[in-house]
Amino acid sequence: MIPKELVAASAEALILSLLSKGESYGYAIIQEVRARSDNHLQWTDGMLYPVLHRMENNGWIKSRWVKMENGRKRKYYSLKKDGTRALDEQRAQWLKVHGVLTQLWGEQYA
Amino acid sequence: MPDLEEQIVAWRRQMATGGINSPSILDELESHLREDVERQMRDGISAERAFEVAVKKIGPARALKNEFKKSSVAGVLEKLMIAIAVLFVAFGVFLSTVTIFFCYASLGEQLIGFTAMGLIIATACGWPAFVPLLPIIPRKRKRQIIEVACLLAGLGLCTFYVQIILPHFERGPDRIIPGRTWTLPPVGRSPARPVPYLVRNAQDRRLALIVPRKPGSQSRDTSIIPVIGFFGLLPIAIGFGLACGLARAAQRAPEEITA
Repeated sequence: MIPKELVAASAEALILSLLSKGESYGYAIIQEVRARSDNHLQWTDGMLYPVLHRMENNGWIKSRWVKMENGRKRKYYSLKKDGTRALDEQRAQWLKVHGVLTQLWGEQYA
Repeated sequence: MPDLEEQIVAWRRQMATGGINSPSILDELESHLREDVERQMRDGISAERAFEVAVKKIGPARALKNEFKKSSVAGVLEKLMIAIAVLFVAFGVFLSTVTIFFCYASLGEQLIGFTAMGLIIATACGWPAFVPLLPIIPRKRKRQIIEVACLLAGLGLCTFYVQIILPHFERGPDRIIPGRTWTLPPVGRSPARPVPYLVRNAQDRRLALIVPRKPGSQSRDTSIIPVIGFFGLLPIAIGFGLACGLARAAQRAPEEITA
């Protein structure tokens, strides 16, 4: 299991990356992250929403309520222009960290 | 065993009591909760167990509230509202303390005055604990009507107290009503010292602010204050408290967000 500090640190990058593939809603985002990480990345479900709201306040993402066929409503989030820019920045940062670690481990285990 | 809808209503209320007040956030969390419960039930888990697990996964209201407060505009507004409320209470306490010191002559009367002030502040601070006991009002229209009714009841109650009850405890040439809104009335006594005080005019029944020049000399009117301008503050405060309390307690029922 990945420690909660790392889960929290990667939350924005994960959400931005998922939303860059198309609009989605809270429950689906959690399920997809869980599935893609083989259950290693686990959020406390409720904690996703403060992050989503913060990102919306930052102007990275926008939301809209959609009425479903069963009559219920879901809040869908999608990426805005600033969100795409934020994703580019975060991707560069994570790739840098990844590159340094790969380099170090490459030397270590060469 | 309570059914799922009742459990969800109770959970929403619990979250609201824990500090998640925004209906939009509650709607979103409820939508998540329902999705999770439905998915678990499709896997063969009982509704009751699925609900328990889903609630646990969403987490406690206090923790969520702190996370929402960290970055949201609502958090800043809440701090501003608390600051204004503290300033308002501090101003009221200051006015009451001055009034009690100058208008109540004996130590016994002053003690009664301070006790009354303490009780009123304790009631105001204890209001949130009373909120969970209030009934749920699912319909928005009905809720608004009750809020307005509470506001008017608060206004009426205080006007009755100030206009009907209070004058019976006062005496003096002009039925003196010293400027005290938060304290108990003194028992048959005029202000002991020459401080500004309010008088109700016998002819037009309006209030006047009297500023004595020196002890024993003739006082004069300096201004006329409409009754509502001064005594309106307290009923509005009480009525507003009632209305806000009800609005907070009366969370929307699930059928309203699915409509």
